[in-house]
Amino acid sequence: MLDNVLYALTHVFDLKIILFMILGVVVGIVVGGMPGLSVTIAVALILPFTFGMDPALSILMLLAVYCSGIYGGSIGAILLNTPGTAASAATAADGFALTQKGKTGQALGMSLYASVIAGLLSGVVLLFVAPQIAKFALGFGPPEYFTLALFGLTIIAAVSGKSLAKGLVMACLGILISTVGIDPINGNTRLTFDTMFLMAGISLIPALLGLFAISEILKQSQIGINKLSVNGDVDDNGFGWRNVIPFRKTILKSSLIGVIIGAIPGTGGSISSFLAVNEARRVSKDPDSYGKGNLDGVAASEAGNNGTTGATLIPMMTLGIPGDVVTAVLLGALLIQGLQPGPQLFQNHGGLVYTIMIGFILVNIILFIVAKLAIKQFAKVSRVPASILFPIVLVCCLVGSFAYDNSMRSVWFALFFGIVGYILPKYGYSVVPMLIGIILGPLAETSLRRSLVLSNESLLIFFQRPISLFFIILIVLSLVLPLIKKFRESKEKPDDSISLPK
Amino acid sequence: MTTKVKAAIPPLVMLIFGFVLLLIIPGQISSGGSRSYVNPQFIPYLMGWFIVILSVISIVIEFIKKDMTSEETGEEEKSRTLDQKQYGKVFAIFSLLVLWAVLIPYLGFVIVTYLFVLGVMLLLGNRNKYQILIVPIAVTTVVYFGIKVFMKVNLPSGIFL
Repeated sequence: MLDNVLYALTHVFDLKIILFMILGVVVGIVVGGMPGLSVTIAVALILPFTFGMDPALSILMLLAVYCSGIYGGSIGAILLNTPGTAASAATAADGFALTQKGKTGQALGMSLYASVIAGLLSGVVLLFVAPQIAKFALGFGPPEYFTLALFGLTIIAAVSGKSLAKGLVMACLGILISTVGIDPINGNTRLTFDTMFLMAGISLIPALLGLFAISEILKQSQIGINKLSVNGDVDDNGFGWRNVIPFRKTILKSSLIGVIIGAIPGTGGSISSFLAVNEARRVSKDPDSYGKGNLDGVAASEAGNNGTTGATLIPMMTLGIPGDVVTAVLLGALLIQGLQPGPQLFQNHGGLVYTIMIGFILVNIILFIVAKLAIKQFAKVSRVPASILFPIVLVCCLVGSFAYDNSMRSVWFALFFGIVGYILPKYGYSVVPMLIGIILGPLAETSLRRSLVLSNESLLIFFQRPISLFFIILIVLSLVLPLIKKFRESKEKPDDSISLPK
Repeated sequence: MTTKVKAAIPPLVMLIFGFVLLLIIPGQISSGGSRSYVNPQFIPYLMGWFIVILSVISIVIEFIKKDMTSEETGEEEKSRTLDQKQYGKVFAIFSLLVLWAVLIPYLGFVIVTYLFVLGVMLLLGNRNKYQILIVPIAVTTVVYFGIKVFMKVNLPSGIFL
């Protein structure tokens, strides 16, 4: 481990890596801060341009976009009451109320400090916990991988929107899409309609850009958010560590909530930020002030959502299952770099893994410095009109799709998925399960078929191996518990403890 | 058409898609000569059946669901009217995206991207003369030089640049 840490420390302070991390931080804050553009879009837009880079550089730049994008979401929430990302929705209530009171600088300052502290804590947990899980996972064979992939697919229950059945249909479509092209075991062509166009399969990146970025721009164009204005002084008036000290308990507790929630697949920043605010309000002497401009609410929300950033990487890097949509994109980035996330990654590319984990901590420090120096300029970004912003994002999508394999074929796929991502959610079919299906489909299929070949087609193999059985129990629990919870909730009066006053 | 029937149409379309998929699998995927059920057709068949079963469940759910309150229906109607007004804009932007992909091999990246950015800006209602003049040129130049020259990533090209 020490070798890897030393290698990482020498590698991560490379000037080129630091410059690209700064660039990633700037892109993340800018895109994350723009209303309507999520951190997923930010990461997806940058991804195609990182293919030619060294794997460590590529992943660290994407992580910089990820962490700063989550923080950037709070800028729109505080200034415009329009969270740049779903994870910052809880920040909007207190943050915007502070802006209305003329305390924008304090809200932005608190958001930055809480975000960075939580990000650093999350990074430390990632550094110490991930290798232990990876060690445990080294003994995995095809049955364990199949049940693990299946467990990864259960996060679909959390991202399906209103209808689980429709979410599962989308996951099936995603898995089906992943089967197009050459069969990974027999080498037969599948669902290619005898065209060269489909022979190489349907790639993740064009699908991702279409499903999340192009479709989102089409949706936003329809809604027509064009005229946004910012009021309030953005100057932080010397906000510093001394201002954070009174909120240390809230920040630490919320960061831990973020870390725990983030490590559970299928959750994410938006859930943890609401839980963190809820917890802060519960222990507060003045719970009624939350949602009306309490700085503690901003601290709780931002520490809660940034606390998830490092923790979501734990299941992604050690087991190869994405914790949320952004980590699904990051998982895709690792795959594109020829790296299979999972325990073997720690075994075969230890230096790289530690570079990523230590780089994650550095990313948060860079985020702090960059945001502290240029908060005023970033605040102006959320004023850029949609009519300028949207064509830029669309050009990035088109160029990014082309850059994936230097062919217009990928551009057509991106356009196809763009229209799919625009139309299907209108009818209750969320696109997130489709993405999860596209990513986890190949792992699930190959490990299932290999397991069945090993066991002479007996499904008992999945129940005879302890780890595999453990995952089956987890799968059953993660499917049954929400149903029980839903059933209980439907019997009781609706509980509004998690929602904040508007 | 009642609300329930309308709501059942999307899962019905998925159901038909599932059946069509099951029908085309034998012609599209060879079993690889394997007698085992674990062959290249296995997962596509499984997904096809899942889509069919889950779509049937979705249709049943739509029919047994309680009627929506009149307030919710009113809100939906309002948003639908707004939706319909803006569909033209979405269609126009998507058409520009398709045109970008179609025209690139003929006119090249620079001209087509300039026209694309200009078109989308106008469609989104930007009438600021300076912005309309500067933004398309700036975006095209920055993307061309930033990506092709600085990042050394290929861009689509045509007869011109």
